[in-house]
Amino acid sequence: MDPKKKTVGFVPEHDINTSDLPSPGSSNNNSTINSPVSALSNTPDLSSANTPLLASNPGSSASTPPASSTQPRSINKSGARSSYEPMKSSYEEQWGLADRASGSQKAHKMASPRDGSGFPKDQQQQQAGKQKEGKGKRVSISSPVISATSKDAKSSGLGIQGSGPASAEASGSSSPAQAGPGGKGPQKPSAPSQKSMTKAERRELQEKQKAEKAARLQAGLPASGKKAAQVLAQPNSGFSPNPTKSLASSFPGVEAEKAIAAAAESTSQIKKREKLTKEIGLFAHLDPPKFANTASAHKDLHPAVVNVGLQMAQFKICGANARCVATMSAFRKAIQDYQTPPNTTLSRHMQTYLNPHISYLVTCRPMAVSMGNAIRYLKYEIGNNLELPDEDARALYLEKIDNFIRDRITMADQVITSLGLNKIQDGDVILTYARSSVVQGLLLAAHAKGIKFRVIVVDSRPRFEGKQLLRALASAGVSCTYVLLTAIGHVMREVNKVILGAHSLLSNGALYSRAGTAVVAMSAHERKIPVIVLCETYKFSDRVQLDSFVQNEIGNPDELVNDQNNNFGHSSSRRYDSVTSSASSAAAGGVLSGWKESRDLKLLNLLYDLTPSEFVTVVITEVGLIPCTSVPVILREYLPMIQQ
Amino acid sequence: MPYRKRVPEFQAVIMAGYGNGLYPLTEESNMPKALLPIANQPMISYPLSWLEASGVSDVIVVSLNSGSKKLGHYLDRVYEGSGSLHITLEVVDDNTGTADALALIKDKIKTDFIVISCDLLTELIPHQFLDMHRSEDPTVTALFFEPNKGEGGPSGSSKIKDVTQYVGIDANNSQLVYLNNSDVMDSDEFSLRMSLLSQHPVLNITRLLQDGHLYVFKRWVIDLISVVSQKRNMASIKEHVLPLLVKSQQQKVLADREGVTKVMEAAMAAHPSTQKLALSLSTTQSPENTESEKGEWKSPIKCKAFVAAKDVYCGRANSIPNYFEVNRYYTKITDKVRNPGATIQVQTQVGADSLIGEDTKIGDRSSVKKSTIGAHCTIGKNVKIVNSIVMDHAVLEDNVKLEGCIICSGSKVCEKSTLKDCEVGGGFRVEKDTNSRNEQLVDFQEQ
Repeated sequence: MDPKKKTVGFVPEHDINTSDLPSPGSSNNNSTINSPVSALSNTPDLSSANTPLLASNPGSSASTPPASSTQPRSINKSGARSSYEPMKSSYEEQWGLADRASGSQKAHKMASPRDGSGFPKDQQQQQAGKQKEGKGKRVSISSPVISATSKDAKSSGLGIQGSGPASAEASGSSSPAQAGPGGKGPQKPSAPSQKSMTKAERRELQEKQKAEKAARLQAGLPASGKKAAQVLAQPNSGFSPNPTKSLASSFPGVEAEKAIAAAAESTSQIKKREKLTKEIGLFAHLDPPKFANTASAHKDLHPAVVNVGLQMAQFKICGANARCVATMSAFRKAIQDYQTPPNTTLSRHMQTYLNPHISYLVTCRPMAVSMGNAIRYLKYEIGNNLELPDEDARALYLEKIDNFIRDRITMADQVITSLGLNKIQDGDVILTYARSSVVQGLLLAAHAKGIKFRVIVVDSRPRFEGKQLLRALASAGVSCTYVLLTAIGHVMREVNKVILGAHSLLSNGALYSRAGTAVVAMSAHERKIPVIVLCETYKFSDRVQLDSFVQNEIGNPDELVNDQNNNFGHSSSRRYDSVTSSASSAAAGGVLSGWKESRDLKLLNLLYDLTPSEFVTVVITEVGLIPCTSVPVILREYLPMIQQ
Repeated sequence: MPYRKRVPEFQAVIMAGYGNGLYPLTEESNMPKALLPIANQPMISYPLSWLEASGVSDVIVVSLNSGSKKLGHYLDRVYEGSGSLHITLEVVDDNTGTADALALIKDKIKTDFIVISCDLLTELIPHQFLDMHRSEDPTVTALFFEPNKGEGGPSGSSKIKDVTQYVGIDANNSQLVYLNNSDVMDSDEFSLRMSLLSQHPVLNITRLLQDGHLYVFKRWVIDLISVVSQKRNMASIKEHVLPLLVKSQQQKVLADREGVTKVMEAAMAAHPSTQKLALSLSTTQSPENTESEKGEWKSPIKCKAFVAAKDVYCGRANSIPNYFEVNRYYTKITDKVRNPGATIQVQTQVGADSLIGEDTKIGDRSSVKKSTIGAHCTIGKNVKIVNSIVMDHAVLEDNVKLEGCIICSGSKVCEKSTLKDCEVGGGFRVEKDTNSRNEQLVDFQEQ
């Protein structure tokens, strides 16, 4: 099959063949490259895009700890204090995929020279002993998942991946019991829970192991005679026969107790995090959804920035323009209240002062392109005016921020509106998707101008931004229709213009916008309906992106669960529900309410998608109507202007 | 102006009142309410550490004149120059209402402020509560909680019936829209405005929730408070300011008459909101239609209620049964050493649910169960203490039996006394062979 064909993957087969169209990306004949976002359903494409991504993970894990296959316990130790229990399924799946893909690596591992070193007999014996200890031990192992700390989930995951096949190999030959639990592969290592045990418990475990070892020896089991002799020689040594174990148990009691306390403290948080690691393999490289709260915020941050970060994390401030304005206004306030520390000047210290604020905002929600551009501009201005006296510099920065908001956003929107008005005529049926502040402004302006037109607002779960647009339009008296994205094919018949907002316009002309935009643009394109995008030039990005996998944002999967009383992940108001009407909210939860407990169920809530440039007819910017492939030109021509 | 690294977000005001519900524990001879021990820690240390955890550094403790000396000593001794808290003690006359007190310290409050009662003990994580205020930006955020069902207060002598309150909270956005102190309404019915119901069609009205006396106010409310306190004598936050704000959300006439609108508009003009434009651009915010066609007045005042989850402990030690309950809870969960430096004879039993202070001596064959015993107490032989609180420097002689009692500091119970459900005032001497139930034993003082 022609790789080009895949572009059309999600669009019905009878679609116009894309290869006929002159598209800017068509020079690029790579199959994965041209696939549109919505190619999610395009399985061959998916797997091909998938493997290189995943193969890197197990590859690294397999190569980094080669000792892991021979010393399972050492892995346990390294994996200690990690929260892999619930991640099991997702990583296994990854592993399952990667297993096939990287069989050679596995083979390599099996042939690892370490296997030939002095250890193997011993190790196998220990392995066998471990299994023999059987249930009693496993119970103690699986009981507390508490042992985890805030260690990066991913790295710990890798650790397990390393141990996974190792233990599976071992158990595959020696005992089916281990592979028993649902074929769930990696057995819970013992060390992590050891940390969370009390001293007495650990002691008990050791004693038991020792006894069992002795019993095994008496029963005339082969091998490990040397080790056994050691054990017998120093029965009261307090060290377990296993070298790594002894290392673990010889930790000072204080430290262990500290770990326990820390673990207990963060139990609830970790549980939450564990749940969240139900990540989708294909999107594992993206940041997991964030649940920002101010607990982690640095205490020296300016409250205005803290509040804005919180509001963005809770999607109270949402939309590229709003987020950019909010960020800049908060920084404005911060600069206003800023006091220069001794022995430095305002302009020289300003960047250092702002950096933690910026990184805080990133922890709240991944940075929007618009915010990034605005911050870059601000930093540029700061860097350009290092020699000014403090108060002049402050005044200058405040003015620059005000000007930026005015010129690049407020005034730009007005210009876009006036340009866009020419494109709306009497009798038009305009379709728009979700809600964009510029689109709303244009439609309201057109109505105020007296143009008779109709609007179809297309909306989608989970955020239903279109409802707010509908409210604004309806209260102004615009004739509106409201449908969900599922009805797009039906309503598209009567539409003669599609007007969309943008999160960002990328250098290759692709439109990066609210998830679902691509579907709207493509189905309009299919019917030869012009697709008009409204986008301020400050949202232009020099980034190039060919599909929506490489860069995207994952939203809170819980939003998909219940759309009845969805308050955008605001925990406190939900908390109240739980107090008063727990019964009703549980009932309203629907079939997905227990998704976190369900092993095989994962939810993906992507926030953005990418519309390839061939589906966009025109972009209205404050510098005029341009084709979306002209983004690099604008960036090139206007960058010097922007930076002055 | 000295360099300050942080821009303070909140200031905090701790209200250290007299504690009417705690008579006779708060008599002059014992100690002010704020210093009453809970798990052998002065009560006020709990809200202080809560504030410290929340990142607030500027704390004003408002104390009534009567106990201010002891409180000041304590604060100086423990918090002076240590930690991140900067504490100022403000002394106001006895019989000053909470709102009056705030009006008096008006000039010291520069930012949005937290008002917390010294008797609130909670395990609520501070940022959960404060984040609501931060993100919703309301005029006031108030904490409500469901009081725990106690194990039955042991002390029956001074049971004050808690004033129940009808609280109405919008189920969709947790807006606090209705407050009614039910001491005026004893019948089964109460009235609601129709306009309230039309604005908030999904409304939970409950009397299970108790006001936590933890509020976060916008800065301009302090101006309003000073207006209110001029009009009324002994104005209190709970009874005057909060209901006024709640009602001003719907009733334009009232808001205008009481000067709420005026005060607020002045404040808004002086400190315009930084995020107005951003919010108007945000795609998830409902469009601003303040001048809607119906001519409906949309109040800029927003009151929010934060309802603590059931599994988060909140308690107010504002009456003797509640004090008992809170003390029992904190004694149970405390992670301190159970009996640091206490001298306990071998044959004496001390339950694991009890706490014994420093330097306390307990004689032979005694037993202590479910009780908290302060520092420097002397307890004789064969003493049985069950479910009681014994404060510092108390002396219990041989063969004393206590059950459900509070023995204030410096008092003495002579031998062979049996007390059940009694409160013994500070420095009181219980004569030997006393046998009493449900009594308050206090030195009578001519006021």
